[in-house]
Amino acid sequence: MAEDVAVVGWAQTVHSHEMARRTDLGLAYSVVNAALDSCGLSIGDIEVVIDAGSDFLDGRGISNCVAADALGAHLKEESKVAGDGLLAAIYAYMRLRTGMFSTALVVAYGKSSQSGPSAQSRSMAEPFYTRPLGLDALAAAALQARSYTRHYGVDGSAPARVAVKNRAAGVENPHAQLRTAVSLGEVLGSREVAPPIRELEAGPVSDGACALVMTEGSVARALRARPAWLVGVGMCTDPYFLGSRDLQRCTPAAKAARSAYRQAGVFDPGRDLDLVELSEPYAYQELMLCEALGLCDEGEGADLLASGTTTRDGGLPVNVSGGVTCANPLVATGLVRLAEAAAQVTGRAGPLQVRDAKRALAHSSGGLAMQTAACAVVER
Amino acid sequence: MLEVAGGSEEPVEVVEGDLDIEYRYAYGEYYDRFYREMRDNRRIMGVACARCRCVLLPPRPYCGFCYEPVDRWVELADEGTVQTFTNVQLPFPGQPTEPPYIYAFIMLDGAAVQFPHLLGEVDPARARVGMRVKAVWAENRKGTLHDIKYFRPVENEG
Repeated sequence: MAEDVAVVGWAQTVHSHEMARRTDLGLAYSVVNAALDSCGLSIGDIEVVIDAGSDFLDGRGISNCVAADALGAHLKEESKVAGDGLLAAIYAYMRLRTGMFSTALVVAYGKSSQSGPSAQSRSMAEPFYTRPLGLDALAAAALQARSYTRHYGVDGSAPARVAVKNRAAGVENPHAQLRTAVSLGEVLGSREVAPPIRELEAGPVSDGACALVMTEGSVARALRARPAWLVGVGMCTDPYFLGSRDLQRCTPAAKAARSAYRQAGVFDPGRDLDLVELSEPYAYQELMLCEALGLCDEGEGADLLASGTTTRDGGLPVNVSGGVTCANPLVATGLVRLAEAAAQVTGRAGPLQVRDAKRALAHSSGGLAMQTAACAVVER
Repeated sequence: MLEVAGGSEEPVEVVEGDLDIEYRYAYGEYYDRFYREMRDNRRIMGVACARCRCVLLPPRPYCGFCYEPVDRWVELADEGTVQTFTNVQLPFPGQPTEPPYIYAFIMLDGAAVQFPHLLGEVDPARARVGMRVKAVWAENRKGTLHDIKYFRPVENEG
């Protein structure tokens, strides 16, 4: 058994809407090389490769068969998670903890531009009870947004204020797709694409990739650069049918976080964490997630936002990268959150650096209306 | 079958469905050049890894064997040796032509990996591993693998 596991290297693409000149595997290859370079390891040092991809985005069945070469998995142990890349990182963490491997590469990539924004979410509708009425990610999120905001009497402008905060933060993020600030008036005046969700409260559709190098403790300590120790992880999933779920709160995120907190020794997340990176494809989700993660009480996400605590200069910055509001490379999104968190706690976050960040939480969501959640806590 | 009070005996068994997703797959720079060379110049171009010296097909920006970046282009012969083949008998969606037809791997002269294509102008009973074959190029080329119609045996084979 390996006692401790660290994230030692990471890289992500500059996320953008349509990379016609680049293949999905070309994106993956570029981030793997950059992640290896960032920690001074080479592909020969890597013992196991865990990747995350979507057969529907890639337009290939069991798409990792094709990807193995590009991921550096030639004649190595490799397997794939059909879900967000943060799940792949947790899978790699568990493999390293077994002591069977000392180094792992985690890669997530997706090119949404090849099939259009809703193909992936439409494919998730099962044929008997969901597909007859049609349901995409946006409509599912809107149902949750109304349920949540109505139950707690959340001010209708609160999600718009999340978007304003995150878009302002994204200006500083060299990897973000959207790097312009927006005003509250612009967000409130943008089209209601699925009420209560407005167009500027939805993240963009991005192509992109992210890779992480993870190792067990002794390898991490021998490297030149300071590692980010992965000290707590958790995953949880809700029922598939939206009608069977409590849409007023994000229980999977709450349970995933509780598991990660217990392992990491986080007792009061508001005080024990220095920053949080969330996966919020729609702005209202940041409010729900702040509550689920225990950063504030239930129904008080909007108050937390209004207090300024979650801004870059606040007591607990949330999404200083601009979050998913500014770039949403499907499948890679949650792994990007972990890369951002690792960069922060090791003092390598460049223009996004939060002063004296020691411990951070990365969150990913998957499925319709945040059906699944994963959380990881990293510290210096 | 569970009973439905007052219902007919007619079961509701299956719902017809399809998943219609249109893709626009990005060729990327390497496939772009590979297929332009085939379309415009009737040339099969591979890439050579500087470390292991393998000449690779399809061209891609990395060597699958040693993970080095690869950017040196090499022209390959449109002629080579059959390494293995099968005579496809059964139909399935997406076939290039109606069966039967011969699907083969061909080691093009100068390459390190086998190139997939069809064999034509050959009696299936006389196809064999080790046979020398040459590409028959299509007149109307569009930048796909079908810019080569098939490989035929060279003169003294057959």
